[in-house]
Amino acid sequence: MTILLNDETRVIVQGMTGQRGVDHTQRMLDYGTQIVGGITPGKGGEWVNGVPVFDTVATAVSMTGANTSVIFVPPGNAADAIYEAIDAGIVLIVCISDGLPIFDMMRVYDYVRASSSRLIGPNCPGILVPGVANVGIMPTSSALPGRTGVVSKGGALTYEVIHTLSQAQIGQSTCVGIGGDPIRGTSYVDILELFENDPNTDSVVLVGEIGGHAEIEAAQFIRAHMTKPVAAFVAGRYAPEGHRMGHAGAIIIDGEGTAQQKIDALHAAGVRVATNPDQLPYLLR
Amino acid sequence: MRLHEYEAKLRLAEFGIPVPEGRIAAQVESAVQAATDLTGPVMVKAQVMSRDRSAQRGIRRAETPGAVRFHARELFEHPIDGVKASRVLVERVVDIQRGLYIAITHDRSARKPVLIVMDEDGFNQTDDEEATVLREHIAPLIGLRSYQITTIASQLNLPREYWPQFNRLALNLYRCFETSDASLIELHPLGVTHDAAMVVVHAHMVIDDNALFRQPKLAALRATAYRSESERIAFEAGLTYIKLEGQIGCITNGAGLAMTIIDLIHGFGDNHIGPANFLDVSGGARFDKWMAAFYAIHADPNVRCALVNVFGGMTPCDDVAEALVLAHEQAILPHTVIVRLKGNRAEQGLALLRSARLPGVVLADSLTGAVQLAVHAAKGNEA
Repeated sequence: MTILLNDETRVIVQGMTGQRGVDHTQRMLDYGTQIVGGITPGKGGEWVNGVPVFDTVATAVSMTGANTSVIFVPPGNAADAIYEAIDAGIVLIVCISDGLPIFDMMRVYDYVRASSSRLIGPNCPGILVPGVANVGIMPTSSALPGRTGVVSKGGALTYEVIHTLSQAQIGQSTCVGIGGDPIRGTSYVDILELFENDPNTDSVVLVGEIGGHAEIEAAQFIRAHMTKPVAAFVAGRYAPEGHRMGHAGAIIIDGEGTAQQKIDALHAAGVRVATNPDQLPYLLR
Repeated sequence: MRLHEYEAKLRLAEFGIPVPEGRIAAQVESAVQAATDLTGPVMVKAQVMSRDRSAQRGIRRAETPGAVRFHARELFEHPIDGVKASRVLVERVVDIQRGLYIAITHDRSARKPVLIVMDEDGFNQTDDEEATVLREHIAPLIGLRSYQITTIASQLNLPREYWPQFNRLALNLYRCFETSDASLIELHPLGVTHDAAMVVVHAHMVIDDNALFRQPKLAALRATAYRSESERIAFEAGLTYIKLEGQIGCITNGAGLAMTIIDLIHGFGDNHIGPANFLDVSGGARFDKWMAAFYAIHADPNVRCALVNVFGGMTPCDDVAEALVLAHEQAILPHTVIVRLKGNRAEQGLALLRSARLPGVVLADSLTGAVQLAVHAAKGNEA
């Protein structure tokens, strides 16, 4: 298989018995993902979608050998769910939940960095390996197996890009949504490095947007370390100017990337940058 | 969510941070009464969100209650940046010998809160390079420590007799920041008075919208902060809405896709045609959120046509279609609505729309096609 997911991936769903958890567990199962359990405190012992429910992640890990978790809990419980997964030794944590308070995410970031777990997200659509496995919420119908890696901050925008690539018969090796929040567990650079070293990936599409420095750091990494071709789209060239938070925001945000700065940095790193996602297939050829 | 100055000062006072003695007044006569109670010269400050408040004479000094009557009347009558103050803050004047700029905010690239301190004089310099900005990053799992405050106090050349109260104040400020789920607290300035006290002259506070669910006291203040009916509808439904100047009401899921559509409209439009709003209906929105989105667009008088582009992951597209049908029944749709549905339950949604045959609803097949149709419709529907 390709990056992040492999034959050993055994997935639990935190928040499986909520409506979203039920719906998406079924969709992931239908796609062939190995879902071995679900977590809902107080519902241990029940079965949902033919999958056993446990009260805690630790129990699920010891009973099922789970090594991956996907999180669908409400935002107020999401930090707790991530800590629990880390403490239970889950290797890969995919947090779909969005709306986490930024303070929670700063603490989570420090905690996950001090552990051996990897966190994807929060506020992300997850990981899709076309034809093989889906850990998250990406619509699978427009995906096509192939050799182009996709990494994106977006949700629906990611699906548009996958759809556009598939329409042009450009299949995907792995699609990773790293999440749109200002603080995320895994960066573009982490994923680009995995794609660069992945024998099943020949080229990469990077989908970015305004805010933060992540695309600039990605451009620096591409320039220094990537041999595989990269095409990109950056959303937000005409975005209304951000609601700058007083003077402190201006001091902190100084130099923080506009879409144009990011496009320039990517160009300078040899990346072909589209002005409309429709152009991406041509830029990969 | 931004707080008004008086709301921020009340919050700071709860955390033991010294603010000037003051009263909030919603009428001219209660402002006069407040000044009489406070005795001596007072400041009368319009409670509006404008950052331009002091340049637009929203802050007045009044020596007597009679002068307060004059200034309060003006502040209630004259809009600042288009907004009339519904309240004024009447405060005892604070004479300061030195002003410090102090802020705590999130440094998103460092992924930590940061304490920023500088001298007011440095702040007012036009050339940022010359101002000495002192920064201490704060480990979120540990919090602000006293040694960090000492470091700043000594770099500021703050006389040592002030160190204990500066230390207390900074620790309380961080406690207020953390407990309130603030994304910014700014003291601008923190005044050092002639009798060796420290007091907040002006404060600015922003709360993390994502944390309002666990800050009911602060969330309750939100009602005073809407700029338009569209914004109110969107906020109450939990949607992100930003008003723009154009005519195409954009309804989509996900911030990235919403921004892409705005970019494409600018690309295909001309100077006359543009997006009317940024509206992100994300997070697996169901029927009621889509209805709220249609109502928010309806409340914007500039909208000539709507562009609904949804690529459902968590979001079921048939909910969007059902909301469209009901919005049509309630007559809140603009003349033309361009609709493109893809992904989760898109076939069901499209089938519903085909059988409903709503007048003015045009189905598009691609993102680019949908944007081109919307731009065309906005031109055609020109009044």
